[in-house]
Amino acid sequence: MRVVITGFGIQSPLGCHWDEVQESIRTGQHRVGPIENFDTGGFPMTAAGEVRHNGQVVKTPGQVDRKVHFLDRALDQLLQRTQLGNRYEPDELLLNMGTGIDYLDSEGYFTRKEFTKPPGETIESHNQTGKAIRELACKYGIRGGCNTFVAACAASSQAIGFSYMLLKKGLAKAVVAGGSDSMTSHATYIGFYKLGAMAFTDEGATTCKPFDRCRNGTVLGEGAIAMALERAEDAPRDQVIMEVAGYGSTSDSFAITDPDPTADMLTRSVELALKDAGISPELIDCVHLHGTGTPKNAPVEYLALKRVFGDRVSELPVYSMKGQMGHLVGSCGAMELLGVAYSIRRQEVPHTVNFSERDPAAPLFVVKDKPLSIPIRYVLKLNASFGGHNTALVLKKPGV
Amino acid sequence: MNKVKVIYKKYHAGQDIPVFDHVSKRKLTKYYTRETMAAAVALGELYGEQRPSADTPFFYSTGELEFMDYFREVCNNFSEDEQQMPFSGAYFIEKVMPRLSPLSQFKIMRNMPHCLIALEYGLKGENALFLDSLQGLLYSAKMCEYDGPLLIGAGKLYADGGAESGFAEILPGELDDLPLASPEDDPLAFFKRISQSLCV
Repeated sequence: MRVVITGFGIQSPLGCHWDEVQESIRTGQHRVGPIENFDTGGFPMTAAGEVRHNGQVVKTPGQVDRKVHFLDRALDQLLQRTQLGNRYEPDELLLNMGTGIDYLDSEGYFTRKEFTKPPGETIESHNQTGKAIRELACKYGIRGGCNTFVAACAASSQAIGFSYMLLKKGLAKAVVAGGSDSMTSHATYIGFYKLGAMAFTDEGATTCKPFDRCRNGTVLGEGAIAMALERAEDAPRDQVIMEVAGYGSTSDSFAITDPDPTADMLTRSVELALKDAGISPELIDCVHLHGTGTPKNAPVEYLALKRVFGDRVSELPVYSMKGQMGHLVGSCGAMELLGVAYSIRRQEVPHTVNFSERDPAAPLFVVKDKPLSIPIRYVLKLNASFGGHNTALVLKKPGV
Repeated sequence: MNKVKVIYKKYHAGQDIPVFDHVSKRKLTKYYTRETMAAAVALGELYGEQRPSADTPFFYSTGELEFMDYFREVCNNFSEDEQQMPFSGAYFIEKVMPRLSPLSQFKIMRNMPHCLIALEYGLKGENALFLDSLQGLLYSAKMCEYDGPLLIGAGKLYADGGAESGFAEILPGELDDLPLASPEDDPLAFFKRISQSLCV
């Protein structure tokens, strides 16, 4: 059974509507800036890609769990746009969402001295993400099931891959899938900083430079993306954006934070996705990589592509969205599928923002300065995470 | 039906979890929460001397986080003056951040139990990681096209330090033989139930 994506609900640093996001990608506007939503006084670094509407950062009170807030808005937008609720029974709809760790309202926690409460007692400042997502499923009349995916940076791509498999195998009729995450709060931002993966300069300014020779880390972002996945036979033809054609997942089982430098299992995930799609590597027109901007990421992604595509790797255009908006962690795979949709709809590979100099250790064909126009039928999308989860998705232009 | 191997373990707060009897990568135990410890013991008993194939698919459901000692252990050492200070970004950086253990961040990452178990057993196959989802586990197993037994598991860490863990080594076709489960069921209740109804 063929599976298609028929709509998006978007709350992202690149905008909150599909047209706005496409324009942001086309122009390559920087969407990482000094954090506006909470007080970063004294922080060693202060940059992030916060959700923006019409260019302005969306601000919320400290007690609000932004990833839940933005998911609520994304779901509302998606369901209004696609009318899934009118086309399917509540029991036929599932919600599969990737997300991150729970939100703690640090100010409330410390101001109310909630740390004095005994373990297990309800803490007002602690927001349980899984519970909140299940409540949103109920709110929007999605009663076929609700699955929350938590494989860190691969969470939302696992959610989308899982949803695709459910539809392909006839186990579901329609799924709302995607991801929602926000680590732009005191506790989570500093927690990520302590993991040592953030880009850093002496000035404290941070810029994520995927694939660039001078890359030295990533920058956090946030956002919620909900997308409608349906069986092609049930989907309104004029709403079809792209087809999900293949999926593969593997685990490095190498280290807690570092990717396996042999790229064995990342390569294997690509092979599995291509096999599932029933296509050979020659049919892939461009690759949207994970591209975190960390020193260890690019050589591993390069090696995986080299092993799958051979010498063609030097002329296969690649892209990473993270240079423009940062790393959305639990929702990055879903957000970056918007980049894939852009490529398929506009027949362009976007330029990777902040990329300027090729790294000899990862000599990829990174599109720079402006989008590259080429015929695009199949796009490969990779994601990988702390913890070693790898995912590969093959997306296809409708009608090919 | 009897080919299914299932195990369920429960540890109360403060109860010793004999993790060192069951892990070979002992250096990594500093990253273990009690959920991971319980999982390591459960799998150690499930597999015994055997080792699963490296390409064994591994699907895992972790529990909703209840363990907020991440900050409690910091704040309990605050002086009276520090407790009275108004909260700000600078307060967080000066008073809280230096006292946070670097290991804490790893312990609150939800994918760490799956990651650490995969590292211990060298599991590199298909995988998915859920939060409190039996439906996700069962669908993943049902859709898996791997030609051999796969591993599904679930775990939870409670606020008081109690921990539960359940695993099953199963062939996708054997799912139909298991006691029926509603998609809304708690994954650990499922493992507990089938461990009671099947022989390990």
